[in-house]
Amino acid sequence: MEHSSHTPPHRTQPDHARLTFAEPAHAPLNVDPPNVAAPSRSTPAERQARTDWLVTELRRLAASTDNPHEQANLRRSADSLIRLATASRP
Amino acid sequence: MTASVIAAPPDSLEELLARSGQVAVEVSGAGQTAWNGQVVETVGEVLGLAHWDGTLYLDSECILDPLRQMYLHAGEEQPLPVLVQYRESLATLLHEHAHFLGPAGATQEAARGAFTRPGSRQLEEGVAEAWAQDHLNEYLTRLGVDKVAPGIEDARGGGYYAAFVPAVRILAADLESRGNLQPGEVLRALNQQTAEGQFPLLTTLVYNSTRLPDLEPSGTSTRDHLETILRQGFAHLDTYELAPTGLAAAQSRSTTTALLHHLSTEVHKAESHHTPTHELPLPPQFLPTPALLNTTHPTSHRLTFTPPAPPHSIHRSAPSPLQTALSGISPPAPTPTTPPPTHPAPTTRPRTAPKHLHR
Repeated sequence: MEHSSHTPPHRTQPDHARLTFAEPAHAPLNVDPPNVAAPSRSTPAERQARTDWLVTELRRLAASTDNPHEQANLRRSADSLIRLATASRP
Repeated sequence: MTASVIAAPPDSLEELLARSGQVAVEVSGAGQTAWNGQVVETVGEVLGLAHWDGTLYLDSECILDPLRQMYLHAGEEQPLPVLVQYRESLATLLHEHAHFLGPAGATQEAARGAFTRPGSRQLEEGVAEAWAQDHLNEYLTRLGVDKVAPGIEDARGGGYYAAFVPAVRILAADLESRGNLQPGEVLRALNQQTAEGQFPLLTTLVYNSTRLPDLEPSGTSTRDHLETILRQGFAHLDTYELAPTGLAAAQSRSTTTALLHHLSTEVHKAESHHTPTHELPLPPQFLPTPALLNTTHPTSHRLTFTPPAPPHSIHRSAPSPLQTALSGISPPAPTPTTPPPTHPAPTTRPRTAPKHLHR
C-alpha cells in the first residue's frame, strides 16, 4: 500500500549503491559490446555486462543529440535497462 | 446529512508528488502500489525510474523543474511548447507509477525476478507507456492539473517506447475483438499486474480466446507453449529499441503480425489434435483482425516464428552492435517441441459466454 507520508524530493546524485549500477569501461559505439557472439548461451554475468555497456552507450547517445524528444527516448531506454540490471543483481 | 470531503487539488510540486501514487492507483483500478512515498531528485543521469525498493527517481531538469514552474505560474496561459514540456513530465510520472502498480499482495521481489525473464521488460514497458498515454488526461484532471496549466490536456507530445507500444496495442485490441471485451480492457488488466502476472494473464487471454478450453483436458503443455511464443515475440522487439521512432513502430507492428500468425498456427495444430477433421474451422481461428492490422502479411506461410527483416531502405546487412546486444539481454527460452498429447476428441461445444479476464 502507498505510504501515507511523503518525503519531499531532495537534490542528489543518484545513489549508485542503491541502484547497484556499475559503470563499465567506455566502449566506442562501433565496436562489439561484450560477449555478443552467443547471447542465447551467455551467462548472467555476461548479460549483465552487456546491459551495463548498453546503458553507457544510450546515455552517451542521449548526451550527443540536440533533439529533446530523442534525448528523452534514449534516456528512457537507458532507465529501463537500469531497471533490468538492478533486477538481475543479487 | 453527511458532508463529503473533497480534498483541494495540489497547489505545489510537493503536494502533487504526495498524491501522485494514490491517484495512479485510483485511475488504474490496481490493488496496490509498491511506491514507498520516497522521491529522489536526480541530476543528469536517470530521467525516471521506479526502483525495486519502491523509491521513485525523477530527473531535476527535465521532470521536476518544469513542474515547479507550472505551479509557479499556476492558472496562467502558456505557449504550446511549455505545455508540452509540462505534459511530458507528468506523463513520465504516471508511467513510472504504472511500474509500481500491482494486485493486492503482490511483492516487488516476485516482480523483480519475473522482470528478468525473456520478453518481460518489453511487455511491461509497452503496457505502462500505452496505458499512461491513454489515461494521462484523467490523471491530470484528478490531480487538478488542468486548472493549473490550462490547455495541457490538448498539448500532445510524442510517445516513447515505439518498439513496444504498437505490439501491446495490437495484441490487446486483437484479444478484445475476439473476446467481446471493452476497448482498453486488456490493457487495463495487464497494467494492474506486476511483471509476475503479466505474461500469465496474457497467455490466459490468448488461450481463452480459442476453442482450446473446450477441447483440451487440463494439464496439457499448450499454455506453456503459447507463453514461450509470446515471450519470444516480445523479446525480439529489443532489436528495434534504438531505431528511429517510425521504423521502430513499423517493425513492432510487423513483428506482432508474425507473432499472431505463429500463435494462430500453433493453436490450430493443438485444436486439430482434439477435433475430427471435418469439424476443423476454416480459416484458422487465430488470425489477426484485418481492421487491427492494416499491413501486409509477411509471414503467411511460416510455421515458426521468424521476425520480419527490416526494409531494404535501412541498408543494414547485419545488426548493429547495439541491436545485437539488445537482442541478447533477454534470450528466448527454447520452444518446446513436444506436441500436445493425443487423446479422444471431446464433444465440441459452441463458444457462447464471453471470455473473462480472470486468471
